[in-house]
Parts: sequence; C-alpha cells; structure tokens
Amino acid sequence: MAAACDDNHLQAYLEGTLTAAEQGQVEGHLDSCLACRQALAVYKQLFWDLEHPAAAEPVPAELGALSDRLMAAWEKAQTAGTAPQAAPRLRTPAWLGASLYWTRLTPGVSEVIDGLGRAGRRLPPLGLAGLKWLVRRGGGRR
Amino acid sequence: MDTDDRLIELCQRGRPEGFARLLLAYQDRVYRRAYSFVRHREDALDLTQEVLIRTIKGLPGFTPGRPLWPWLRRITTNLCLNHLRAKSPLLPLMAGEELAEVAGGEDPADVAVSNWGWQRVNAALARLPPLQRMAVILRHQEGLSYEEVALALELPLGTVKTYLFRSRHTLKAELARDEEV
Repeated sequence: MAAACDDNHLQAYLEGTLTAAEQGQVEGHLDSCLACRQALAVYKQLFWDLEHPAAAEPVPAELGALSDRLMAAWEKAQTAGTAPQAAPRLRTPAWLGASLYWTRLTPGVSEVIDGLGRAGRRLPPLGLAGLKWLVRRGGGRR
Repeated sequence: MDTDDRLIELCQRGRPEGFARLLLAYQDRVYRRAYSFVRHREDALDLTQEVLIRTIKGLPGFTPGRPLWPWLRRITTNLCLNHLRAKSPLLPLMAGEELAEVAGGEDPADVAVSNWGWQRVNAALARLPPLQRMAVILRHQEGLSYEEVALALELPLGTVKTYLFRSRHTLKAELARDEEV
C-alpha cells in the first residue's frame, strides 16, 4: 500500500464514523488508489460476514437438563419469598409449575392454574419426573 | 410469541410458566453468546446457568417496559469477562499484533473479494484474543456503538477502537492468507 493509504480510515469510512471532511478525503483517495478500493471491498465483505452469521451455533443437549435445574431454582426462590411480588401472587400448585414440556404443550395452562388457584386446591408435589409421566400417560405431546 | 413485557409480568407475579417461557425465549441465545465469547462448551454451559440464576434474582426489580435482551446480554458479557480474567489474569490482549505482522506482507493487489463463508470467518474469529473477539462480536453482532462496547468491556474508548481496527485487520489478513494455502 502507498504511504497515503490508511487501513484504519478505510474501516472507519465503512462504518460511517468519519467526519464529512475526512470522508471526502478518503473518497478522493479511493478515486486514485486501486489497492485501497480492493481493500475496502474486502472489508465490506468481512463486515457483512461478521454481521450475518450463516448458521446459529448448535446448542448442546445439556441445556435441557439446565432448564430443569433453573426451574427448580426459580421455584425455590418463590417459596423462600426472596422474590417480592409486583401484584398479588396466585396460589400455583407446585406440580403444575415447572415443566417446559407442559408449557409447550398446553396453551391454556394460565387459565387452568387460575382455576385451581381459586379453588384453593393443593396437590402433593410430583416433581418433574412425575409431571413427565403424566404428560406421557395423557398422550399430551402434540 | 410472548412479548418481553408479558414475560416480565408473569415472572414478577411469581408464575412459573412465565420463567419457563423466558427460558424458552432466551436460554439458547444466552448460551450462544457466552460460547461466542469463551469458545469452550462446558464453560459456556456454566456461564449460561450463572446468567440465568442472576436473572432469577434480578427479575423482581426489573423495570417493566424495558427489553430483556440488553439486560441479559450485559450480565452475560460481565460474567464472561470475569471468567476470562480469572482464567488468565494477563489476558493476551495484543496477541493479534503478531498475526497481523506475519500476514501483512501480502500484496493488496492480489487480495480479491471472496466469499469466505461464515464457517471460516467464525474460525478466524475464534483465534482472536478474547477481548478483541468480544469487542468484534459486541460491535458487529450486537450492534453496540464504540462507547457502549467500551462500557461493556470496562475499557477506555481509545483502546476499544484500537482493538476493533487491529482485530478486523487481522481477520482480513488471516482469511486472505488461508486462501493462498
């Protein structure tokens, strides 16, 4: 590259962070410098590739088990009262609470929980394993 | 799809399906962002858990009406930064310089515009020093301004600019060099 070429200026030009005067200077230089025009084209491609990942990074299967642990942590935080409520808390039976599977499969779960809460029913905790058994038995997967 | 306001409302009312839906909406994204920073699967899983544990603690005080992702991203960035610094107190901040010097000899006239593909760009990104990689990701994939990147990485603005310019030059040079092989 000739001495007047400035790689940083090319990048800044592409990002639009130069002043109007600096932009004019770069454009004037580009008119006469093939190397900088080529470098600018390469940076343009690079910026595009960086900003448009073609494929999302695959997520490991362990995230499923992590979800279960996090739901358990959530339940514990609610029970311990470490989470102050913005509105009166509904009485949610523990066995209905935690499963992502349940949430996915049952769009009307909020209404069901409201109903049970109003009825004041409390059921023994089944845990996540019990909940999954219930889902399988009910053939609930859609 | 649930809006952030709906998720926050459900969570702040103590509704477990609210948090379950939040996990469905954001857990994978948190993992992918953590992995992009630390490039280690097990560490990224641990960090994802830590981010979401902090989310549980922070949700009661979260102001409704604010979007969730910038908040989650900030927690993820801070925890990844702490993790990288704990692993290596003297983070190899300027290691990219050597790479740029080695690759700097190519004739610009021979560098053609290429369709490198995301896989190759991602592989080159993974080889950057951690802080430079984080700066590039925050700038180009999260769309943060230079000032916001500086705040997120707890670095002076001038340092962030230097990192970005050098790392992008390094990436360009690496990708061009790889093509010659």
